Amino acid sequence: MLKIKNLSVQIKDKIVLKGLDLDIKPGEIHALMGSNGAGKSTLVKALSGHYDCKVTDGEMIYKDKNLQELSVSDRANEGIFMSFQNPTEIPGVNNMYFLKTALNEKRAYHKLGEINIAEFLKFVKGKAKEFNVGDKMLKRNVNEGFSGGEKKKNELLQMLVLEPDLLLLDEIDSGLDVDAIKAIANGVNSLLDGKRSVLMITHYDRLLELIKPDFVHVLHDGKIVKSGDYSLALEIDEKGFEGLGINHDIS
Amino acid sequence: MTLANYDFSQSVKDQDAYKKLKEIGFPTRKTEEFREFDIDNILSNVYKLNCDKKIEVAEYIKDKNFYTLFIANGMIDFVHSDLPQCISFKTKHKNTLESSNSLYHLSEAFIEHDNILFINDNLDKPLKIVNMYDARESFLPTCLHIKLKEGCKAEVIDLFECICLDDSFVNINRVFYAEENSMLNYVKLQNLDLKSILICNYIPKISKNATFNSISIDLGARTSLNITSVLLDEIYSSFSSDGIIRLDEHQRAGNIASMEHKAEHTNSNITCKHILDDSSRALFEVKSIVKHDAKFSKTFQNSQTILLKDGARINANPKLILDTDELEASHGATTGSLNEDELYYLMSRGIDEKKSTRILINAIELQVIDKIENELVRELALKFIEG
Ligand SMILES: Nc1ncnc2c1ncn2[C@@H]1O[C@H](COP(=O)(O)OP(=O)(O)O)[C@@H](O)[C@H]1O
Ligand SMILES: [Mg+2]
Repeated sequence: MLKIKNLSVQIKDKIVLKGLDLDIKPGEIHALMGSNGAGKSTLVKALSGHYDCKVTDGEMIYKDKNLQELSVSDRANEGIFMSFQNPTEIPGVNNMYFLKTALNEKRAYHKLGEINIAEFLKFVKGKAKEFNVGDKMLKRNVNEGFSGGEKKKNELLQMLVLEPDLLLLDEIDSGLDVDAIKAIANGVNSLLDGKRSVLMITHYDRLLELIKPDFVHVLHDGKIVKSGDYSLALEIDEKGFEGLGINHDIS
Repeated sequence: MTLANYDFSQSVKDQDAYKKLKEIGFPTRKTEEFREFDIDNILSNVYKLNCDKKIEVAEYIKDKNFYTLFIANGMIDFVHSDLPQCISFKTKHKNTLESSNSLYHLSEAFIEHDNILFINDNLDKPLKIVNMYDARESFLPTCLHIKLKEGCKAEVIDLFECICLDDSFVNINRVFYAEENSMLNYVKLQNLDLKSILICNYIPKISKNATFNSISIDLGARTSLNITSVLLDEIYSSFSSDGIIRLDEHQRAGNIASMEHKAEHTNSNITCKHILDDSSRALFEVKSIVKHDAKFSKTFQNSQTILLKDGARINANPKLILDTDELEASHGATTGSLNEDELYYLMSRGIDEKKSTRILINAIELQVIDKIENELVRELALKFIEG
C-alpha cells in the first residue's frame, strides 16, 4: 500500500527526516514511537502533503502513485487520512456541512453522485451515537471551541465518514481519558477490514493494547532505528528509549 | 456627450443641483479618495443620455415573501410592482439637499421632482427594490427617497441586476428618512456586469432615537462605489454600515463615508470586509467627526482585508476627528491572507484548493450576513453570496 524509500524532509531550515524507509502492506498495523521532536509528526505530515514539509530526497509510493505528484486533496481522495495531533479550528464553517462536502468531494473524485442528505444525516448520527461522539459537535463549527477530547473525536468521525484506506493517526490518544481512548479505538477498529492499513503515532501502551500493531518502529534523529513486533512496544514501556540504547541527544 | 465638461446643460432639469455641482466640481484623479478609481475616465466617457430600451419586467418572477418595486433602466415601474397599502408614492417639489458630494448633485441635476416612497406602517414583509438594467454606453441617474414613519420598522433591499450594462454609468441617489423611534434596515446586493460602473450616493437622515442599518454586498461591476454622508444631529440616533466587497480581475470597489456626530448619545459604526483576488483594488475611506456637543457618542470603524493574490491592493484610511473626550471611538484596519492551516485542514479532507478557499471566504462573509436580523433577508443575502 505504502512504500517510503530513503525519505528526507526539511521543515524551514531544518532537516527533520534523514533517509527514512518504511513499507506498509494492505491490512497491516504499524506503530511509530520515538521521543518528542524525533520527526514522527513530520513523517505523517509529509505523507499528507503539508505545506511546511519539503521533500529533499527519496520517494513515497502509495498505491503505485508517487505522492509528490498528488495535491493534498487528491491524496485524501485516494484514501489517505491523517488525523491531526492538533486539529485546526475553523470558525464559521459548520461541521456537518464540512463532513458532507468532504464526502461529496471524495465521491465526485471517484465519479459517484452526491450523497442523499437524509441518508447522510442518518449515517452520521448513527456513527456519532455508536462511538460516543456528542450530537452537539455536529452542529458547531469545525473544532471551534472544542475540548482536546472533542477534537480527537471529531477526527474519528471524519474517518468514519470518509472511510480511508490508509489511516495516519498522530497521537489520537493524547490527552484523552480511558473511556474516550476506548471509544476512539473501537471506531478505528470498526474500519479495519483486513485491507485498510494504519500508521499510528503514540506514546502510550493503552492505545496499542486496544489496536494491536503488527509492527512497532522507533524513530530517532530522522531515521527508523529499531523495528520489531508488539513486544518492542512493551519493552519501550518498561525500559524507556534510553534503556534500549537509543541516545536522547539529537545532534 | 461627456459629463466632465458639463456639456449636458441642455438636459438639466434641476438648475439648483446643476449649480451646486458646478460649484463643488467633479472629483478628479487628484482628489484623494478617487485616486484608485480612474474617475477622469469615467466622467469623460461618451454616454447616451436617454435609454428608452424596454425591459420586460412582467417576466421577472416575483417572490411572494417580499413586496417588490421595479426600477427598470432607472424608471420606476408601478404597473408591475407589488406594494402594500401602507407604502405610498409621491412626487414632490424638488428639495435638493446640502451635500459636498458632487456625484449626488450630478444625478439630481437630471431629475425634475423628488420621488418619495412613504412607508407608513411596520412592514410585514421586506420590500425588495429590483433595479434592472439593459443599456449600453448610457448614463443612468436615479433618485429615490425612502421615508419611514415614526415608530415603524422596515426592511428594504436594493437588488441590482442587469441584462447588459456595457460601458454604462449608473449613478444612484438614495435618501433615507428614519423618523423618530423608527428602524430602517437596508441591504444592498450588487452583482452587475463587469463592464459597468455603479456609484451609490447615500444620505441617511436619522431622527431622534431612530436607527438606520445598512449591509452592502458588492460582487460585480467594473467599478462600484458607495458614498455615504451621515449627519447625526439628533439625540440617540444611530447609524451602522457593514459591507462585503469581493473582487477579482481588475475590479475596483470601495466605501467613502463621512459620519458627523453633532448630538449627544449618537452612534456610528462602519465595517467592511474586502476579499481581493487577482489585480483588484478596494478603498475604505472613512471619516468620523465627533463635535464638541456630541458627548457620550460612539463611533467605530473597521476594515478587514484578505488579499488572495499579490497583485490585489487595499487602500484603507480610517480617520477619527474628535472634538470631545467623553466618547468611545476606535478605528482599525487589518490585512492578511487566508489562514494556511485552515486551508490545509480542509484540503487534507479531500476538498480541493479552490473549493476550500471558497468555503473559508464564505465563512468570513457569513460574519456579515449573520448581522441581518430578518430571516428572509438573511437567506436572500446568503444565496446571493453563494452565487
Ligand atoms: N513548523 C516548524 N518550524 C520549525 N521547526 C519545526 C516545525 N515543525 C517541526 N519542527 C521541528 O522538527 C522536528 C520534528 O518535529 P515533529 O515531527 O513535530 O516531532 P514529533 O512529532 O516526533 O514530536 C522538531 O525538532 C521540531 O522542532
Ligand atoms: Mg508530533
